[in-house]
Amino acid sequence: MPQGDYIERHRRDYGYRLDHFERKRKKEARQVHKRSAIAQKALGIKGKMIAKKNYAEKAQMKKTLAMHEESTSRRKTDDNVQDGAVPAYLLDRDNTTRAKVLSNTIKQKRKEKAGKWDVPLPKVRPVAEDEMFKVVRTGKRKTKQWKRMVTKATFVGPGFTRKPPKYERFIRPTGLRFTKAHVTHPELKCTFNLELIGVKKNPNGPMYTSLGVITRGTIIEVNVSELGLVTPAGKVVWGKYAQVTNNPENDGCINAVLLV
Amino acid sequence: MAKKKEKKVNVSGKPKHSLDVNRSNDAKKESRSAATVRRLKMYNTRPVRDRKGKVVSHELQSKELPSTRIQPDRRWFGNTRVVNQKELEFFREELQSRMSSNYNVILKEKKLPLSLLNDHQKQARVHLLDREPFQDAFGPKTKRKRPILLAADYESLLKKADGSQDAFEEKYGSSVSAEANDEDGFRDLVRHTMFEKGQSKRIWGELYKVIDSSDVVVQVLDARDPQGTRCYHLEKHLKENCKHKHMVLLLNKCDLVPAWATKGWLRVLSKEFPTLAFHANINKSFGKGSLLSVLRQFARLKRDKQAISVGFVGYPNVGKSSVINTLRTKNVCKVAPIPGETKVWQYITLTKRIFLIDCPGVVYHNNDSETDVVLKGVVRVTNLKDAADHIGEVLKRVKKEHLERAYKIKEWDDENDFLLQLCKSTGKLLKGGEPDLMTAAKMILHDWQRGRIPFFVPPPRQEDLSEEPNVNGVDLDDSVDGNEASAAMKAIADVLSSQQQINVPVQNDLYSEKELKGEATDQHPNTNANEEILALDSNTSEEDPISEP
Repeated sequence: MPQGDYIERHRRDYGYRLDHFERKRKKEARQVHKRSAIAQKALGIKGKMIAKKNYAEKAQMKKTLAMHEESTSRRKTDDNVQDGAVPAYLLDRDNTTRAKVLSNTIKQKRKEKAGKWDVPLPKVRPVAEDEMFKVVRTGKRKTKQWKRMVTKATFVGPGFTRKPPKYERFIRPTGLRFTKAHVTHPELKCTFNLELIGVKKNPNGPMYTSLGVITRGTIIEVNVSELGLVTPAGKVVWGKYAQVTNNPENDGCINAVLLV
Repeated sequence: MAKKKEKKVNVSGKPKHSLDVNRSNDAKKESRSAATVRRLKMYNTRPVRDRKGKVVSHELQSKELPSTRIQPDRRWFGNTRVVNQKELEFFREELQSRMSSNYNVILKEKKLPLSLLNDHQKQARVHLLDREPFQDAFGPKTKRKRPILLAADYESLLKKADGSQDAFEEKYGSSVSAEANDEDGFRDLVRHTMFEKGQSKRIWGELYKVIDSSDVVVQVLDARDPQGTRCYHLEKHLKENCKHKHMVLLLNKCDLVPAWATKGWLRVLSKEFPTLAFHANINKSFGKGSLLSVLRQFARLKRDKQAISVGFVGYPNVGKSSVINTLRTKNVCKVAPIPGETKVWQYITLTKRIFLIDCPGVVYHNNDSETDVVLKGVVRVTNLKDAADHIGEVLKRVKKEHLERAYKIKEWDDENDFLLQLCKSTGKLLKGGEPDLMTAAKMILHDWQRGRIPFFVPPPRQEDLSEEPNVNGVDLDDSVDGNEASAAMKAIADVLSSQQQINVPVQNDLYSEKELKGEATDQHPNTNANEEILALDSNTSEEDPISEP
């Protein structure tokens, strides 16, 4: 808060002095004479600086006045051009309006077609390797640094068993393993607690897909037996894809949207 | 020049550095595989630093951001798994007959729609229309004119409350006795932390690490008290959450109990899980061949994996590390006759395809008293401050003749008198000729833990005393079987049934001839003694004499 703010605040609360504006007007009128007196009395380097500044201001004023006079007296007007007029070097060409319309139609159709198969989150925030993995130091003197602990939510299959310690490079903690996800049907607007079948695609890379890492935007495969979906041929559907919409490592659960 | 140099290196076959392909670890002088060389190089990966010590690059720790665009594709929106109605019926019939048995294995559970086969019980409906249909509430024939309450008036409400109170008291009768105990003004003393051995978070963390890394879990039980040293919580956890892992029970220390007791326990426990008898000794072991055969069959069952891991879990001081030393025929794990020698999990290589995992002893929290905890061998006897308090239970459980033979004491009135006589005979006296009861009690508990005092819990009685080996759930008549999984499980069942027929060796001079023959008659003196003696005599036979090392 600036220090001189109290003056404006006082004026806002209690109003101006009764002869404030008259005194201001008279002070501005006398400003010219005061500046002239200062310019005449100044000596030495101060006088030179004041003279230079006054000369610059006067030159700028003269340029502004000349510009306005010039714009008033010497202005060139263009001839009136009719609509549909074509320059001389284009007179041999045909009209291309129809082709442009067709081109726009094709582009629009392609755009609609591309948008039809878009997932709900086509692009998410990327996760670097130093955020995904944490270095685990092993050995008697803690010098071995080839093991990595996965810091995101993971899914391991039903037949998962950890590898022997000499061969296990990526450690997936049991506290961050998930077997179920809250899947929302976008058309029915209801949510189910479905079991995970697998991780289909992690947008950060195929290595995370093979490790079963689940981040935001991951395409997972869920068990939709509870929904009771049936194909037109009469078969029972029990597997479908869904996309993760939250950050499971922060929230402690997996929220996803079913891809229908 | 480069070609000539390369050929020279290949032809000579001498290693130039420690990670060379030509350097071999085994005696056969075979070269290393490329995968092995890659793995050995991986062990030495460290962050690369510049001259000032700043990290330039570290493998799998880069800050580069990947591209996270998901390509639009129509396959995201289709069905991934579809099953036919006929296949569904077939799966349901097949699963009903096979899932209930512990000897059958589903190899690939991911391909089966298991949730479609099982009915969900948790989808309970309200059933509102069963109690009150629409005609009673709406329409011209409405009958509902007042709200439906649990009780119409005050007396019926009071009667209903008394009924529910009686039902509650019947259900929780033990808490009533606890409250009666509370009225005396006394409360149980806070238990010493010594009796909480095997129940800490660190120990159970080691256990879950072992279970997570194991394909087969071998639960080692003490043959003297198999049901007391079981971990039911672990078995339930494996059955519910880790269906793909197998549980095998191992009756260790079978040389300390009579042969008929071991066979009885084998029959009882084989109904739940595959069970083997074992005597853990490096030179004179029993059951080693059977256990190795079972583990090889499990490795054959999991042929798609490169190797399987076998975790050994159980109570403290049941001999898990001794079993591993016996399988390796050398001392690879540190062993001691006291509980708590194994403190962290250990990984041991048995063959190229079988790894063994040793686990510290775990105890699930139950209602065992302090004496039960001590007599199971969970607590170290040297740390006990009131060892004399547990001798009464020892005198109650062990037969008098065994104590007479072990300590040369003929008659005693109670545990104090027994301890007094033992102090005098062994010379455990304090200053002034006062008997040292604490030291004598610790001696007895040490002998109990090491098996010098014979003791065992007999198996429960069975009506059927037939000679048939009792292995549940396996059809032995099925000779034509092309499936490898059922062939492996059938081989395991054959190993189990053959071990039930083998003579189990018992330690010399531990039990009398009468106990070795037919000890079961003493427990039921009123039943048909002659018939049981005849039946049990045919079961047992001459044992091979085993000399003590």
